[in-house]
Amino acid sequence: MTAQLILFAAVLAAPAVCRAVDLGISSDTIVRVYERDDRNGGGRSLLPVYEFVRLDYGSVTTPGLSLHAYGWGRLDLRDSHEDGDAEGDLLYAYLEYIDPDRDHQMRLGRQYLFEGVMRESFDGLYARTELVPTVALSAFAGMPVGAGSAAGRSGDLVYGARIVQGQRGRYDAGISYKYVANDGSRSEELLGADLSLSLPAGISMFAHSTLNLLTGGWGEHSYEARIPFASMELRPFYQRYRYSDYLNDRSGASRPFRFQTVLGDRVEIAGAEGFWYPTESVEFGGRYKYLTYDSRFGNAHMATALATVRRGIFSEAGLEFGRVQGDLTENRYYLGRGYLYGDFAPWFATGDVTYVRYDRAIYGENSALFVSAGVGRKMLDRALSLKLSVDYSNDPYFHKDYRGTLAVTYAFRR
Amino acid sequence: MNRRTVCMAAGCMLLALVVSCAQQARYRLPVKHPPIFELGERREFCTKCHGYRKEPVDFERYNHTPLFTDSHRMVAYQNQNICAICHEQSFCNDCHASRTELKPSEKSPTETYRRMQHRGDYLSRHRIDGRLDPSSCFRCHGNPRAAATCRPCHG
Repeated sequence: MTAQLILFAAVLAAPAVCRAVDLGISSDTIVRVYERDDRNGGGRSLLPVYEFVRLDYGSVTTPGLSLHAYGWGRLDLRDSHEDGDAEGDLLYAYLEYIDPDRDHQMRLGRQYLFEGVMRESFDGLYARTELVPTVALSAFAGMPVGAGSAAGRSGDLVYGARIVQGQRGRYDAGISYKYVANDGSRSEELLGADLSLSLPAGISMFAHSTLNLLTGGWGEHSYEARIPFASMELRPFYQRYRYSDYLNDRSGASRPFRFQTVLGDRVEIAGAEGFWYPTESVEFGGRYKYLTYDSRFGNAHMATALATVRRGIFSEAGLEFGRVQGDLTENRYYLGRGYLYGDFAPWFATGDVTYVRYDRAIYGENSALFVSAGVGRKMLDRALSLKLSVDYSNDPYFHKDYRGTLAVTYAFRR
Repeated sequence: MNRRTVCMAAGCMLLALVVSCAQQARYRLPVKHPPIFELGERREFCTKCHGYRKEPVDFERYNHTPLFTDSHRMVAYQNQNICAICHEQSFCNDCHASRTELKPSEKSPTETYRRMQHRGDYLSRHRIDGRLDPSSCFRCHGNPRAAATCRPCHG
């Protein structure tokens, strides 16, 4: 309701305060067709239509006041989903003001924030200011969207702040804090620190740590370095999570997370990503992770290697091969993937094949095959796109499952 | 312990403010990147045009490598405004949303180059990935509303 009121007020107010008013409306209409078995043994033929609408109103490309909103809705044209014939959600709807010097920014309404430990969808106010050229302060307060529960939103509260100090081209160091109350009780309180550092020879380092103030323990430590040399780059990383401090067992959390907090295990993840770019259009990449646990498992390896070829602005093809190897047979699989995006303006064609081989059968199936093929066309100076995709899957959960998707994307701007 | 930690953090903030008096010329990010060929909708390397300069922005940090989808969180935590130069928040909401029914790869099945999470048969794979590294799941499915995806099977 708050977001709807803000939307209405903004539409009335924006033209009066914007120097140059732009209106942008984007619509994604997605029609899917597939079949599903019911728990009672019956079958349902599903034909849901999804509509995603985005509105941008105001000085979108220059400082000033603007309005941004995005939401989705679903209508079932044939059999119903288990949760009813229709569903939808407002993902964001906020007024934004950026001052002409771009030193101050404010947002009011439903928004998604992603800063330090402040990773939250909330209804409220966010403000960011550069106090002096090397220091930025941001803060937010409101009601968390994610804390919905049987008791409604009464007693739900979220607020937080982050201060970052840096020298351009050298370092950025930030400290952030977040507090979340759900139904009147403290459900999350985090303090975080993040750092990025530029070193000689083009080397960069990142660090991110999170302290859980509810439990008094460090939930996460993540470190990453980026070491370029010639046309190659190596990115070693190290992460450590203590589940009792990183996950939480608050009401509404899913059972596996609550279960993990009780176990109190700790995982350490060490590894590296590597890239080689022999030409501007050819990429080779890979990642290796080594996971060790305090108590639950012995260890695990996750590795993937991929190669991509790019042509022109949009066309791309890639191959990937991966292996996940836990110490238990049930935690092992091979993965192979190939994909294609071919741009033949105004047409484009796409393909995606994923094959997974499980070391231990799941529901009697040792493998999973997913194949997707698509075709599309852009029209009206790329403002309108039609996309048709057909998917086939044969896996432990779905036997010879066919799905179709028709998407119509339209972008209007004036 | 907690109070002492918070006091130390506040002290660090004050120290940062003092240190910042060693002023640097101010740089202001543009609100939006000039529109060129659906820049926010494709995988691109910033250094292709901007080179490897570290100032005013470390462009190399934002290069969209083939694994960028998997490992962009560290740079996004630090300055989401740089992401916003090219991407609308709706683009991020394809994966990062408080509640959505469609997997990212189901919403945009033809955007194969985006290496979206949970492509293909992830229902089977998540049993293994989730056992080995639940912290990755928790980042998106941790709050009660997003956990609605998990509850039908897991409770």
